[in-house]
Amino acid sequence: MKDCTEYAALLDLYVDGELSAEEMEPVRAHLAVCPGCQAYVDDALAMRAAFPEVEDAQVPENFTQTVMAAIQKVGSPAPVKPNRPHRKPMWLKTLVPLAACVAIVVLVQQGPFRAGTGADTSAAPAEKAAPEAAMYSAADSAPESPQPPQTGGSGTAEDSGAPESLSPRLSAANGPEAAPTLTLTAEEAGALLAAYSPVQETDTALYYELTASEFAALFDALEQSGALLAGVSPVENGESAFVTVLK
Amino acid sequence: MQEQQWIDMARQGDQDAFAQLVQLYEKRVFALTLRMCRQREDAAEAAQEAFLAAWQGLPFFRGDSSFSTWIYRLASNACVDLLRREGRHRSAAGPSLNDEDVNIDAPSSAPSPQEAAEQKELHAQVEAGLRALSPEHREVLVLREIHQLSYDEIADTLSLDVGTVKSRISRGRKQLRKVLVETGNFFSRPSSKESGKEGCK
Ligand SMILES: [Zn+2]
Repeated sequence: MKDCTEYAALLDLYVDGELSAEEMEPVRAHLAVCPGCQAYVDDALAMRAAFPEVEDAQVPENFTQTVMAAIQKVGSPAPVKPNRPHRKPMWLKTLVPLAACVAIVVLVQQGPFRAGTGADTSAAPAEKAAPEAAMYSAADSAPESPQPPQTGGSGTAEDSGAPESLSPRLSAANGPEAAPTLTLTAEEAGALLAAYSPVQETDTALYYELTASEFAALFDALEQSGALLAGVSPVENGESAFVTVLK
Repeated sequence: MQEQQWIDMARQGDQDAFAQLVQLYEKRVFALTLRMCRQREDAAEAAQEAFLAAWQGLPFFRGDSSFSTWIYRLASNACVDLLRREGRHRSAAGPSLNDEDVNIDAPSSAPSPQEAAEQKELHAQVEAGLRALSPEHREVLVLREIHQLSYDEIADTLSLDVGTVKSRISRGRKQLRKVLVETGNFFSRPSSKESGKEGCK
C-alpha cells in the first residue's frame, strides 16, 4: 500500500493522462479517501478549465442535444452512483465518424449482430426499448425514477401483470453491472433509515447516501425482515451506496 | 445567480435547465477530457458520460464543492472509467487533435454576460499567473495545457529528458496554483487555500 506522498507524485501524471488505466485506478481510489490529494486534482482541473484557449475547444457537433437525448432515456435524476463501469450507451454511436456510422447501419440491416461496441448482450433489451421509451414522459419511461410501484402503467414487459412485489428493486435500467442502488417503499424501509438524513427530497421520494458499512448494516436488517435482496451487490469500502425510499 | 437556478431546477428534473448547464460547461469539460483521454472520440465519450453522471447524481450534489469542481471531477473519473472499460491505453500522439473541420457548425453556448465576465476574469488570472512563473515552467505548462502535447512530445520539442519534463510540469503547476491561491478568488473552494502548497499534508 502506497502512502500519500507516493500518490501525490502521481497526481500530475493522472490529470495529464500519462498513466495507464491500471495505474489510474489506485490513484482514483486514493483520491476518494484523501481530501488533500483530491483538492490538488480539483485545482489542477480548475486551472486547466480556465486556460483561455479552452474557448477554442471544438466540442462535437450537437453535443448538448446528444447528451439531452441520452438523458431523456434515463429519465429523472436518479440515485445512481456516478462513474460506474457500464456498457457503452447506444447514443454514443451518433458520435463516431460518418463512415463508421454507415458501417453500423449496414451491420444492423444485415442481421441480428449488434454493432461495434463488443460484448454485453444483456444490454440489448434496454437498448431496443429506448426509442419507444423516449416517447413517453421521462417519469413514465424510467423504471428507476422515483415512482410508487402501484402506477406501473408504462413499465417494461416484466413489470406488466406481475404481482406487486414487496421486495426491494434494483434500478433495472442501469444494467446488471450498475451500482448497488436500492429502491425501497416507505413500508419496506420502515424506520431503518430514520437515523440518516436524506441528501435530497422530492415530492415522490427520499434519497439517502450511505457508506459501505452503513449500507451493509441496512442490508442485514432488510434481510432479517425477510426482504428478497437477490441481485443487490455489496458496496466496496470507500464507495457510497444510494438508497431511494419512495413516499 | 443563473447557474444556481439551473442547478436547482435540474435537481427537480428540469431537463431544459440541465441543457443550459451542459451548454455552459461543455467546452471546459471537453477540454479536460481531451487532455486526459487524448483521443477525440474518447474525450467526447467521456464528456458525455460525465454529464450523464451529473444528471443522475444531481440528487446527491450537496454543494459542498462548487458545481464546476464537481463536474470536472466527474469528467476526470469518466476518463478513468473509459480507459479501463475499453482497455485503451494512451497513445503518444492523438491523430485527431487538430482536425479543424470537424465541428464547424457546433452551436456556441451562450453564457449570460455575468458568466462570460467571470470566465474572462479567470482567464486573465491564469494568464497573469503564467507570467509569474519562470520561463522553463511556463513553457512546459503551455505546451501541455494549450498545445496538448504529451510528456514525450514535450521532451522531444524541448530536447529534455522525460523526467525533467515531468518534474517541471509538476513544479510549474504547483507554482501556478500557489500564485492563484494568493490572488484570492480563483478557487471557489475555500479549503484550497489551506492545502495550497502540496497535494498532501
Ligand atoms: Zn493523498
